[in-house]
Amino acid sequence: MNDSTMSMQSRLAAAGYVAEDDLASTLELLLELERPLLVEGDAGVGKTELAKALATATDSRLIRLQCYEGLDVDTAVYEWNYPRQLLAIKLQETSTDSLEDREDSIFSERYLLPRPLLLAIREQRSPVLLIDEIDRADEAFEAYLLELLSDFQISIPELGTLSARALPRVILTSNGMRELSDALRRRCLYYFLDYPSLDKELDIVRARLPDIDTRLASQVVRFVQSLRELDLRKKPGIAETLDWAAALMSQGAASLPTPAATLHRTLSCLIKTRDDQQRLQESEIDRLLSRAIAP
Amino acid sequence: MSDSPSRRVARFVRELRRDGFGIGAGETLDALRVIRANPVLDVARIRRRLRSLLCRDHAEWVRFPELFDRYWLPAAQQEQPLSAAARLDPRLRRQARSVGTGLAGTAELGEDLRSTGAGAGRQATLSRIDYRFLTDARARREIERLAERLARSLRHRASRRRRIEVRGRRIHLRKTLRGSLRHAGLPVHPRYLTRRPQTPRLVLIQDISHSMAQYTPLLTRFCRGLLRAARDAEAFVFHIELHRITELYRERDADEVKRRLDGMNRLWLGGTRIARSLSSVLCDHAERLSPSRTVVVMLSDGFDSDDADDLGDALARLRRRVRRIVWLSPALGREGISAQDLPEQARAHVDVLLPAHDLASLSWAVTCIAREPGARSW
Repeated sequence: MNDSTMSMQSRLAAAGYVAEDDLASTLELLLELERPLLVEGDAGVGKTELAKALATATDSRLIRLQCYEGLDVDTAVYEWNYPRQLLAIKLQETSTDSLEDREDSIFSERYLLPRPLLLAIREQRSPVLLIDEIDRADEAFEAYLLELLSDFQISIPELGTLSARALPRVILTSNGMRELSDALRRRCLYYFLDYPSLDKELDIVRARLPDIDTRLASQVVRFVQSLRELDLRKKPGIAETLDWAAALMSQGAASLPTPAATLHRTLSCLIKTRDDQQRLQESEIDRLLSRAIAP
Repeated sequence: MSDSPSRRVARFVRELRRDGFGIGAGETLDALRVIRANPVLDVARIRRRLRSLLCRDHAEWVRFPELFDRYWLPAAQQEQPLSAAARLDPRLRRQARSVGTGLAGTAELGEDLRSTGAGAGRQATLSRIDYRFLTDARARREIERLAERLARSLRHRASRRRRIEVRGRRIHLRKTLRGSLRHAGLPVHPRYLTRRPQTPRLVLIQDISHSMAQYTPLLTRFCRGLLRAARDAEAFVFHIELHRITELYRERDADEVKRRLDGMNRLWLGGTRIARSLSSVLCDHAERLSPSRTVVVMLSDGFDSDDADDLGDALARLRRRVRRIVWLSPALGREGISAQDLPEQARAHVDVLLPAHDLASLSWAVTCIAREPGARSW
C-alpha cells in the first residue's frame, strides 16, 4: 500500500473512521485535484460521518448544508440583513456623507448574512463543505451549485463576485432519492459507499465503543450482517449497529441475550419500519441469533 | 514499439466512452495527472484512483474494475464474444477487437472514430431490434439499461406540485413580504405560487407469465425506471396471482431485482389470470387508486386463461377508479398481430394500447404515459 494512502487511513482512523484503501485513495485524490467528491450509498453507511472524519483528519472546519426540497439561495448562500439595513438608513438620514457612500456602506459585507456556501468560500483555511443529501434539493438548486463547484465563486449582484479565499474540500452525499444531473456528476469525483464487510464493521464497533466486550461486538456484528441479507424495507446501517451495541452494553450484556424474546426488546434499534417488524418473526430472529452466537 | 502512458490512458478513456461512460476532456487530463503522479506503476492504486475519477454513477462504478482489467491486464482476461451491436456494425467490430491494449501497448488502432458518432449509431441500431431476437448477453444488458434510463426520463416530463414564480395568479405572501424588505416594504417584485403539472400516480401491473418470459427482463428494467421516476408509484406483478413488488423495484442492484423476481415466478407454468389479478388490485389495493391522478400501466400480451368477459368486466371496474389505462403489449411488435387481436371487451376500457418490444416503442410509451388524457391512441 502507498505511504500517502496509509497516512490518510491512519489519520481517518485517529478521527474514529475506518476507511478501506479505495476510500482513502479517493480522499487523497480529492485533496490533490481539489475536485468535489460525490458519495452515494444507502442511508446509514457512513457518508455524513466521512465528511466529519475528513474535517478532523485535515484539522479543518466542517461546514454543513443540509439539503431539502425548496432549499433556495437565501438559505444556502446569503441573505441581506434587511432589518439592519433599514435601521442603518434611518440612522444615516442626518449623515453628511454622499448618497453613493451611504449606499456603498449599506450594501457591504457588513450587512450580509452568510449561509453555508458563502461561509465555505470566505474561510481563510480550506474547510470541508458537506452538502448533505443533494438528491433532496430541487434541480434548480443543483444547477446553481454548478458555478460554485467549478469556479468556487459566488456572484452577488449588489456586491460583485466573491471568489474563494481557500478552496473548500467539498463532499456531496446522495441516497439516490432522485437521479442527479450529468453536469453535476461530471464535476465530481465519485465513490459508492456500500455496507461494510464483517471485519470492517467489527473494527468500526471497536473504534466507536472501545469498552465493548469482544464477544458481544462479534455477535452483534454477525447478527446485523445476517439481518442485512433478509428482504427488509430498511436495512440497518452502521449507526443502527452502534446504537444497538450501545443499548446492549447499557444493559450490562457481555453477549447477545437469549432467548429471542429477550432480544426482541432491543431490536427497535435495528428495525425501523412496521413492515419489517411484522416480517421478522420470532423464529427468524431465533435463526439469526443461533448463527450469530455460533462459535 | 510500445506506447507512452499518456497515449494508453487516452485510449483507455476512449474505450470507456464507447462503453457508455460520459468522460469529458477535464477528466482525461486529470487521469493523465494521476498516471504521471505514479512513476512506479502500481496498478491497484491507479485502478482505485481512476475509478473515482472516471465513474459517475453506481452502474459505472460496478462495471469499472472489469473494464479496467480488460484493458490494462489483457492476459488475465479471456477473449470476450462480440456484442450484437458489434456484429451489426463493422466499425464497432474493429473497436471491440482493439480492447486489451493497455499494458501490451503494441496493437495499432484502426482509423480514429468519433465516439459520439459510434455511440449514436449503435443506439439507433439497437433501438429498433426486437428484444426477443437478441441473443448476445452484453447487448441484452445494454438494451435493458437503456430501457430503464428511458423510463426514468418520465421525471423530466412531469413535474411537482407547486413552485414560486415571478408571474402567476396566486401571490406567495411570505416570499413577497420577504422580498419587499429590500425596497423599504414596497412589494416591487411580487412572487407567485404556480401549480405545476400534476404528476400521474403510476400503478404498474406487469405480466410475468410464461408467454411474457422473453420480454420480462426488458420490461422489468423499464418498470423499475418508471417506478424510480415517479415518487408515489406502485408496482405489481402477476401470473396466476398478484404480488406487490414496489419495494423490490426500489432495490439499487438490478441483478438482485431479477434474481428475486425469478424466485417469485416459480408458478409461471400455471397460466395467466389477468382478470383475477386485476380484481385483486381492486379489492386489496384500492387505496392506491385515484380517479383524478392514477395512470395504470398494464404490461401484458393479453393472453389470458380467464374468460374475455371477466377481463372486460375487471378492466371496466378498474377504469372507473383511475384516470387512464395505458396497455403496453410486446406482442403488438410482431408481424400479423394488431390491436384488434386483444379481446373487444378489454379494448373498450383501455385508453392507450401500444407495442413494447423494442427501445423505440418504449420511448413512445414514456411519452404517452406522461401525456394528458386525450383521444384514444390505438
